[in-house]
Amino acid sequence: MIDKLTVLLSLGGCFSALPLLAQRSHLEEYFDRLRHTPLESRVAVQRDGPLYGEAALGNLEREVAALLQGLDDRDDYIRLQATAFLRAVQLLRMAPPGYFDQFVPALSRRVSDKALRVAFNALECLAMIEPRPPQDAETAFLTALERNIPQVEGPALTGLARLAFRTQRANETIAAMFAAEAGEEALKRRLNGLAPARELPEPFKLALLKLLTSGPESLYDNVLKLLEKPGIVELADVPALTRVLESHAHVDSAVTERIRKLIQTASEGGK
Amino acid sequence: MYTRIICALFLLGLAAYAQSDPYVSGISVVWYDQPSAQVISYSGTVTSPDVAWYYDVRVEGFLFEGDNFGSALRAGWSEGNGGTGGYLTWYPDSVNLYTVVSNHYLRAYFVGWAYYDPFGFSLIASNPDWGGGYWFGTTVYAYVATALIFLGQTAHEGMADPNNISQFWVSARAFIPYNYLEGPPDDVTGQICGLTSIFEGDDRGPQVNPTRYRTMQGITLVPDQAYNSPGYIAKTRAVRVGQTNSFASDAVADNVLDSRDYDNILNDCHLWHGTGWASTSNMQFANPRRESATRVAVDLAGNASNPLVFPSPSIDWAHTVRLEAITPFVTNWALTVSHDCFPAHEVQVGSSVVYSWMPTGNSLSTVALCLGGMGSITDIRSGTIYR
Repeated sequence: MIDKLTVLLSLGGCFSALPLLAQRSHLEEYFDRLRHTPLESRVAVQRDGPLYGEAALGNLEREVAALLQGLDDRDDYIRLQATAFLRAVQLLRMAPPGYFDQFVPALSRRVSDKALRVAFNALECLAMIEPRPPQDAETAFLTALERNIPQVEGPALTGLARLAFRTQRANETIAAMFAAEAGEEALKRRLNGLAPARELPEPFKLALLKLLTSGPESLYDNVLKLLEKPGIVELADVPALTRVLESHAHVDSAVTERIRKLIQTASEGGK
Repeated sequence: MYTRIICALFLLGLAAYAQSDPYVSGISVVWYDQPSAQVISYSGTVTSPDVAWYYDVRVEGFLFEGDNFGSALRAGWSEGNGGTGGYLTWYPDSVNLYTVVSNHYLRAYFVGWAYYDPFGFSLIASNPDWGGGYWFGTTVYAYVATALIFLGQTAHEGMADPNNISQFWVSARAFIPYNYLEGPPDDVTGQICGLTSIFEGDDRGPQVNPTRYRTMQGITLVPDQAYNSPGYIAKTRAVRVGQTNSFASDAVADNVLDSRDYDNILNDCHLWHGTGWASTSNMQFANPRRESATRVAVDLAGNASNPLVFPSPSIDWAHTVRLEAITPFVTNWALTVSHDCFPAHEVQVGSSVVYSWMPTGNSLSTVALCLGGMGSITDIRSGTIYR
């Protein structure tokens, strides 16, 4: 039988522990466990990662300090955990408005991270900030592209595409990324990277149209598939598309037919 | 009667206690081709303690049937009484192999030592290192593992291996162990049916040569240089993804996704809604390589995203598999793995799944956290495969 004193003592114990719990966020505890566990025996802690993450999703504000610290941690794995958590918050659309503003400087530092997955996550986080990535992130996107590392090109290009305003430097970088000189393999990879985009801003579209006139024929299909997506070509694109068609006039092929259809779509307002 | 047995046992025990093992040194085997025949020549020395022993050097061909020994085809041998103590040198000897070599697995070995009790020919002791043994007359011989010599390792590359015992199919796969999974809406067609879509899972646990997976990379490795110089068979490279299928939520009203949910009408927000294939462009093979005459390694790394969802975090993995041939029948493997905590991952070597990881949950948040890299697993494993 449990007497009243035992119950009171137990409750007292619980309440006295509450201030301690309040001071330590879930991610802080997770990161601390990682810091104090040797690399060779980390699997047990890693296994708990999603559990800490799930718990941390319950109170995002409380995790800000741990995340900021984690983003600059000297341990690659902890930096990865911090960026992965922020990425999940975005994917789950759980962030309150403006939540990511406080992480932009730290995420921008991470785009040059030696751990490529950390850099990738940081770029994705910046690129997918709603409603648009902050203008400050443009330098981070350009820095990432200048590293010339295929694995991080995708989110950097997406980020540039989603910016409300791009500097001349950004537009030139985009043009260079999709110039025929970039080489077939790189171009194919970059075109594939754009495949999920629902809108293509002007510098991208111009670069694609240029590829249709001066790029390798093997990429025409990839380029056309992008342009054929609903809402990509507009009335304003008709002159440029017509010039592309003229450059293909001597070739009676499926390509010219597809360009004709694109012109028709653009003439109808891009429906 | 019982007294005699006890005495005999005592004597046997005493004899065994007093013995030390003979040891083998300097065995060499050379296998070379000649226009008319393939020839093995062999020589070696055995030093024996002061006991009676026999020796037996053999060159044999074995026909393998699957993983099992078939009949042994003796191609040549030397055997005799080693005498009492002292040592024995085999002078170079050779055997001609006319028919065995092209169709059978060959090996030369020293069929080890055996001690005999003074009253007869029953075995007292034999080398314990080699687990096998076979009957030869009334005597059990034990193979001396240290003196086991495999021809392919010493002299001859491109050795015949009709039953592929030298080869190991190495494959890394990611799969969704659940019947289905709730995910972000399938939005590639532009027609979003709700807040979430249902994605078909692979509905299985760790499995050898499965037909269902999200991603699969594989290549055949040959750790023993005797059979294959580069250490891998390029034409066996495989990079594949499983088909991705999305469904409207009404497909799982009965809590299960099955063939009845394929209504053959896509993009209608009813039952089967979308389908696609993830890109394999980021599923690289980094450098399958030979690291020594008996060791090969390959990096199986890559990432792949759900083709029906944008933005979709990718399944990421980066494994390194090392195989080292100890004998043609014993191969050590070592594995460093790095992968997301969702979905499930497995690595197959030969006909064994040597590593598997099963996710701890399949909620939307767990999947999002895991695919971003939270709780990603890095681990090291090793083991041995016996054939």
